[in-house]
Amino acid sequence: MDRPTSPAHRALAAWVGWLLVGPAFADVIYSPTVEEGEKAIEWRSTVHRDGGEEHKLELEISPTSWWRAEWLATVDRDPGAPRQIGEVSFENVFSLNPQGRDFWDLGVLAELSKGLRGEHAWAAELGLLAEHATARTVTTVNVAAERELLPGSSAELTVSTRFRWRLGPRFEPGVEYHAELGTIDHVGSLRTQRHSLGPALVGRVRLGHETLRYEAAWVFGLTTGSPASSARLQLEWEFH
Amino acid sequence: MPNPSTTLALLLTASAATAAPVTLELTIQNHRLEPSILVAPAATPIELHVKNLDETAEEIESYALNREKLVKPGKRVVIYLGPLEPGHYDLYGEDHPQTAQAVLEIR
Repeated sequence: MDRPTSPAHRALAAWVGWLLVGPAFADVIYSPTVEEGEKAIEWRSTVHRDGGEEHKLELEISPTSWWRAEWLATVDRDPGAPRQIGEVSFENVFSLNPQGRDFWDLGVLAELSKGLRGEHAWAAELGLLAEHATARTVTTVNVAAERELLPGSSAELTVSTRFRWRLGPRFEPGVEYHAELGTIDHVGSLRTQRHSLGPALVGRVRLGHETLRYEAAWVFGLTTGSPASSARLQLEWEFH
Repeated sequence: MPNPSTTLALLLTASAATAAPVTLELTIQNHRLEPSILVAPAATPIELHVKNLDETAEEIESYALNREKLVKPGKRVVIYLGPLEPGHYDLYGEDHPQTAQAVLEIR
């Protein structure tokens, strides 16, 4: 069979190939807002086009209006390998100002993880969370550094942001961007960094006094150093 | 040229608006919100002080205002809003949505 030769066919073939090259990273985007008294069970899944997967089961509690604590277990799978428990984590979000008082709602992410494979290394993540909301839109920005607590390791810098339209409680479409910039002592060139962008959908459904929240996104690599695409789904059953 | 760190600090701490905030009071009592109609001017930040006189907690919720706030029994919270465009913004108590209702009217 002849290979497609028209510009449109070549563009389509390139785009499909681009989708299938390998995984792009896409992780949760954290809001700095904390709802006191909230408890939740959450499931986060990210599936890459090359067959890699990451799934997180999480328990969450917000004992105060400024502190949310989360315990997570991660199961992941490299392409062609079996699923294994990868790490356990203790994640905290500290809200720095009351929601809506200032132009930016600000918070800090602090996470400690224990690897359960390889060197069983501990890792720490520290991040700044910011969010600005209008009546119709919400913009969220996360900047974080994560470092394995091993001799000689460096902190890796990540940036994530999402812009979404508040069309209704069940349907808030948006756009997500994720970047892995390299390590603090060696921020790579744009070609080697990972930059991913794609559509996202956020919403919630009331179930009596409880709430089911969802987030879904599909992001695509933007640079040659960026693997192709990944989809993520996050489901949260929230109760008080 | 402004110092970048000064610019960043101003960006992060910039107030939602330059107008002085308006303070409104809302009371939760017998699983109702009083008053049921609150009025505030447009384009002005609002501090909504919510006091819960009931013996059970209530969560004040409004999708239109993008707020969910737990108010424990006997406690008071402040909900920061606005500046808002003219219109009507519904508020309700999540645990008693049939009775705990109010409207914020922005003129």
